[in-house]
Amino acid sequence: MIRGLFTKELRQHGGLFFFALILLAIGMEMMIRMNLLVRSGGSAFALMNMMLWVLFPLVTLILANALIAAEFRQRTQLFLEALPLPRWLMLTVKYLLGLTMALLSVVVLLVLSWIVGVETDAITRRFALLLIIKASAWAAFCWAVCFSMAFLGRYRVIASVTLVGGLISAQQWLGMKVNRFGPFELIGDQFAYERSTLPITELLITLALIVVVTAFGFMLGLVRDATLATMLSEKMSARERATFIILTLVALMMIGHVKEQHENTDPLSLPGSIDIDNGVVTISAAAAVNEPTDLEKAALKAHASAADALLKEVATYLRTPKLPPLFLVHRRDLEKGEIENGDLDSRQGTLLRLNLLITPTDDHKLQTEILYHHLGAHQHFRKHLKDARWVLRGFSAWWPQRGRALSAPSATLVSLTPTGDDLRKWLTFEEGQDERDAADYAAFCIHTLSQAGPNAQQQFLSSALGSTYSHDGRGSLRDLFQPLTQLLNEATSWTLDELAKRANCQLKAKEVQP
Amino acid sequence: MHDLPADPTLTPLEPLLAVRGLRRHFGSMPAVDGVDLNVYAGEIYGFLGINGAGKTTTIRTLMGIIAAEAGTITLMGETTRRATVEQKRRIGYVSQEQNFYPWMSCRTLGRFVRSFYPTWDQREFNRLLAVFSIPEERRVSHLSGGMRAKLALALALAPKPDLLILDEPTAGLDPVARREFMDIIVEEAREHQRTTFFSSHLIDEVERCADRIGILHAGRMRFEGRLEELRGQVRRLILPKTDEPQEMPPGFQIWQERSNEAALERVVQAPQEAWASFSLPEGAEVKHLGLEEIFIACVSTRRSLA
Repeated sequence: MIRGLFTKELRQHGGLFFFALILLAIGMEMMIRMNLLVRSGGSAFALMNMMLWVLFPLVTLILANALIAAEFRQRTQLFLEALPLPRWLMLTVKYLLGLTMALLSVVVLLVLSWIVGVETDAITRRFALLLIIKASAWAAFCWAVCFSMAFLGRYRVIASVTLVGGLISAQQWLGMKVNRFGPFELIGDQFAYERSTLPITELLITLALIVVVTAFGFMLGLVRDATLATMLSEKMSARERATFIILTLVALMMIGHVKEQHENTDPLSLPGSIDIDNGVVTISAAAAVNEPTDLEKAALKAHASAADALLKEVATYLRTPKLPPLFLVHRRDLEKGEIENGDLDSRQGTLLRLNLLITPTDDHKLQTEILYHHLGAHQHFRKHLKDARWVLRGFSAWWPQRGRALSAPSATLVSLTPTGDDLRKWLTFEEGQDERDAADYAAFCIHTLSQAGPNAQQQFLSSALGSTYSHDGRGSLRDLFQPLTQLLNEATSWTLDELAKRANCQLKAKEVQP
Repeated sequence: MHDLPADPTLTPLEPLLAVRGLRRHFGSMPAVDGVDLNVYAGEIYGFLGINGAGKTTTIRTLMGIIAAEAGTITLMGETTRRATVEQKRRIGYVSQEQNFYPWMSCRTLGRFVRSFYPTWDQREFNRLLAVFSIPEERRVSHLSGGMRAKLALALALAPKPDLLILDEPTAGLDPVARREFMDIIVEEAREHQRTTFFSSHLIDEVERCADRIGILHAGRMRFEGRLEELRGQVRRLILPKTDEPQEMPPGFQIWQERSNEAALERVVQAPQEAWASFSLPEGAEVKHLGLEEIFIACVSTRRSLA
């Protein structure tokens, strides 16, 4: 009876197992070709270590899927159950066969590593024994986990992703030393180098985990005559799928939140900088030269003060209590009007490189660039990527010339008649226009908002650009539930089409640049 | 309709399969709710019920595929809650859906199943494949629905079982294949005196093949016995319409009732002796019913005949 079952399982899954072995061999070969052998300290067993971390769990997952999950999914387990065969025996045969295949894969990896490392590694009997014990324990652990997961049917992928994601999150962001625990420590940093000590504690923990996880798998497979496993193997309903998607989004946001809380974004500090902190924003101006001249020092000071005044005023207008730090870096090699963005993490602030000596402190372009990049960083670049970019572009261009007549538009711009749809699809519109024209049009739109009254204009700009965003997915969710059109309508009762029409009228009334 | 064999050894008092108080729920839904049935040696038992009546659950419980929550199963004289491996070796089973491994050929499948049955007769299996015109080398995935059902029957008969259990074996087959399949079953049963228990929702199939029938409805047995008994017990009564309520004598159960302007029609069940002494009211008329009419009336009432 058992022989019949083994023969059937081997005939059914032998090809897949062979494929898995080839996959492992190819993986090993690729690692050698990628020069990982040298980078990993020259030990072939370090490559094996990598394989055990990366490819081996995948192989056991594939095997478990074929041996267990597919049987339930294709309902062939009903055929087996009708035969004079105890269910526990059926599961035991599958478990043992999977375990044997996992252990055989370890043997193959060991042999391949030995072939690669026979000339470079000093392979003693004890070292080989240690490798076999540790790798076999890891293989048995992986197999036990995948075996149990396979009984979770349609939830097995979710459960696996949650497990792996949870372990990575715990390690990365919660500071838990997962990699030093039980089975993970067995294939840790010392796997390829430890030649004398057997990690007894880790082995015992691994063994205990294998027993618990295997018992869980058998429980799922045997409880109520596998009714549970059979039910789990059915396809997801539409409601389940929707719940799963919502839960995934919530989980991703929570992970993002935890990540944000625990991720260190080191504050940037420029050596020899002139710093101004007004409580709302910190300005640091520094020179990217060894010895700044007196003139350069004076320029740093003047620009820091000017930026401080600019941002403080903008923050007050936009009702923002705090803005990220701004860094201005003086570079002698840059031409006038040449401003480079340092591409910092939005939580670190904004870094702009320019020649401070030849750039006036009240230069419109400089002010526009500071506002564009800095307000963008304030909202973690969400206004850069979305259809709301026109607000950011327009405000940055409008602010330096607010209270005055806007500069005359180009003839091309006047000939255009943009619509609300162009504002809605701003990135497409911007691409088709001259950069200056697009910025001018956006500024006209912001200027036009004053027709609804200065308070309405301020309310809209404050809600669109002044509000503080979360760095993670919650910020995206906020954009989703509070789109720009809604903010515009709340502040001015206008639609985007109406705004575009009014802006067009203002454009036509303006004098045209030659 | 076949008569029961005259040989008294084939209808002993002890049934080959006896089920008592079988119960199984799925969630809060009772799939099988206290089923009692007896299948005697050598007979063909038709297990009749509409879709969802609980036939498959009963059969899967008999086969030990799912466990009963309550009740006992006596198989070949041994009483258990679920069929043991030894008992299952003496049962041939054909399920409603043939969940064979698609990659196996018919011969490989036979070889695989053979390892579980010490009584497996390879020559019989080969003979059956030949009789059913099933190519041995053909993969299961390349067989038609009818061929798969026949292959399942060959696999079930090759171990020479004492009891053959078939769960709606002809579901999904065309009328010709259905007739052919049932003929083979009856032939096998008659030739080898093999006890056969088959479920169906097709009345003509049951009427043609079964010695005795059991009617299952909403998880409960409504009737168990010979077809003649059922026909004798259930009749249509056409009564002239009056203003007075027309009560039935004690022992008479009304299964179905409908009226028009002129008459009141009732499908009534009563023991045959009660019908013999029943005095027909003036202007009334009694008609005998076919199994189909009886079955429809039976499953439209909650009262049990048993």
